[in-house]
Amino acid sequence: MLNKRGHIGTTLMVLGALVLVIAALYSFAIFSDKTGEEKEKLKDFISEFSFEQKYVSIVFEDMVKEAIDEVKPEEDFMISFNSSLKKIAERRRNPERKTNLFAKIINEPLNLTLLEDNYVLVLDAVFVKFEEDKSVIERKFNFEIIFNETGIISQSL
Amino acid sequence: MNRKGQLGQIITSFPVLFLLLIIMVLFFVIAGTISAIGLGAKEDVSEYGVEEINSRVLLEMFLGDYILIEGKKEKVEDVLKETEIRDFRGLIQEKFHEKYGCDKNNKLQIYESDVVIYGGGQGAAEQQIYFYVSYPETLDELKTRITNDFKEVLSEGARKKRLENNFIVVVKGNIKC
Repeated sequence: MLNKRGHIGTTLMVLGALVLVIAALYSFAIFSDKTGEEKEKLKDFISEFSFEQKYVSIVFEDMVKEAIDEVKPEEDFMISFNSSLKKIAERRRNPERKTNLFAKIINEPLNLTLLEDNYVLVLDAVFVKFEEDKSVIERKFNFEIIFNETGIISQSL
Repeated sequence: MNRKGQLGQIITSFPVLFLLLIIMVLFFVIAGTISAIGLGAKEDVSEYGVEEINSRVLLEMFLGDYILIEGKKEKVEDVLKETEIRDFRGLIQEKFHEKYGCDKNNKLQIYESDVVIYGGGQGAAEQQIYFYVSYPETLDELKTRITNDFKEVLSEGARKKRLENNFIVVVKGNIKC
């Protein structure tokens, strides 16, 4: 006669192994699906932030270039540059952008100094912020741009 | 008859153990496949993401720039939204060419699309696209109305923006040439 208890134990072990294999595969599949969605969300989030960050430095350089071009030779360069840059920032301002760059240029006095033959414009604490649900990414920059009457010499963050 | 004992014997017999081995192998194959698919997707996403970000910067810079209309500076986006585009598409294309064209490496398309239904009842519907600008083509070369030919519209790596008046602006490229 066969030993009942011993066989029930072995049977349970085999069945248990099967259940574990199936459960593990199922959890793999489910886990993959979830990470796929999360990855897509994360990618969008990072992509949005990278865009804002890149856009801010490019738009700042472009506005300075445009302000230099707008100054007429007979005008006082610093005064005229200041007022041009503020006007350009007002035109360029876009409420969709999550930055204080435009507000800082329009509302605050510009830190523009003459150093030998070049002008140095410094813009401190410009931030780029992106938030979605409870996640927030924020980065602060200090822009420094050196230029003269003919164009931009260098720009640093 | 001792059924439980027999069931135990069957389950622990060689063919069943062999079946278990196959299931284990399948486990590794499926797990490996899932992991391989995941790795492939990651590379695609990152490469595509950078291209699209560059296109988006280019698009926003262009739409935020101005064109001169009767000596007055007008924002490109406002011109596209508020005026009859046919009158100014030359100026818009010229601005893109001068400042953002990068020797014709960057691309710009401005179009609107509508669905046209032929015949009554269950008549066939098709999408018609009307191009106003398709840089680097010149306006003279531009085929204006396209029917069911979506290959003409920029897709991967491009950035699209639909304006309030349903004009669609698509840009592909990089502001830094």
